[in-house]
Amino acid sequence: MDLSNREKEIWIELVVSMAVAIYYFTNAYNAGALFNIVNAELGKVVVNAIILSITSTIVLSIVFKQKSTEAKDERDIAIESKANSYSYYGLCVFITIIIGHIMISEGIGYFDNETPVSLNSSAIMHLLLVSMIVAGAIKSVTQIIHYRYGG
Amino acid sequence: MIVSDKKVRNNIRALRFQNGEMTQADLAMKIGATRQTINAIEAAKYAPSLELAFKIADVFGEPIECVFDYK
Repeated sequence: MDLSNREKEIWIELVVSMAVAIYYFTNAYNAGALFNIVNAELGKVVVNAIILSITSTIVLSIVFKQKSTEAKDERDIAIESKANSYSYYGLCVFITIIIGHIMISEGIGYFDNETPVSLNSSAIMHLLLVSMIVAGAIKSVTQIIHYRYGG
Repeated sequence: MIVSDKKVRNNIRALRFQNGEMTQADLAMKIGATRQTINAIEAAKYAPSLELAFKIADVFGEPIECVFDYK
């Protein structure tokens, strides 16, 4: 598959963000930090995730022979704008779900009188992080589709 | 909403070859776009802005209706 520099850049961004997300959430879960922040453990995971992000970007750039991309033209801007718009809607949906869950569990309570699954600040932080990662992935996938199949 | 099957089409490829076998990269450089955008325009996957369309026509020294049509 013949990829332009910009497509390579988007693929690298997508792969790195997914790899870092998988690494972070697996290790945060193993450290028991998803619903309860354990500072020392989570700090270590965050630092490792940043290192992984930087090294994997460098390695993938070398593997894919990524050159510096040229200035964006009107098509690049149009595609990016469309991708940002989809990404924004995705983010809004996730945030609305999180807000809805907090309102139901903390304020209104479930209708069937079961014990509500209350979200603590650590869980909310991680759900917001997931929302941001998914929104970023929506942006990258939208751009890839438009570069490949027109737009 | 009116749905139309019409598309912005062009004969850039033919014009490039009539103008000293100009490459997509050459044309892109002259109008300040990327080669991928020229490729997408030629394949009718992307309809350029009016300004870019005029720039392309200007490179070939043709009126815009000789480069682009809508059918």
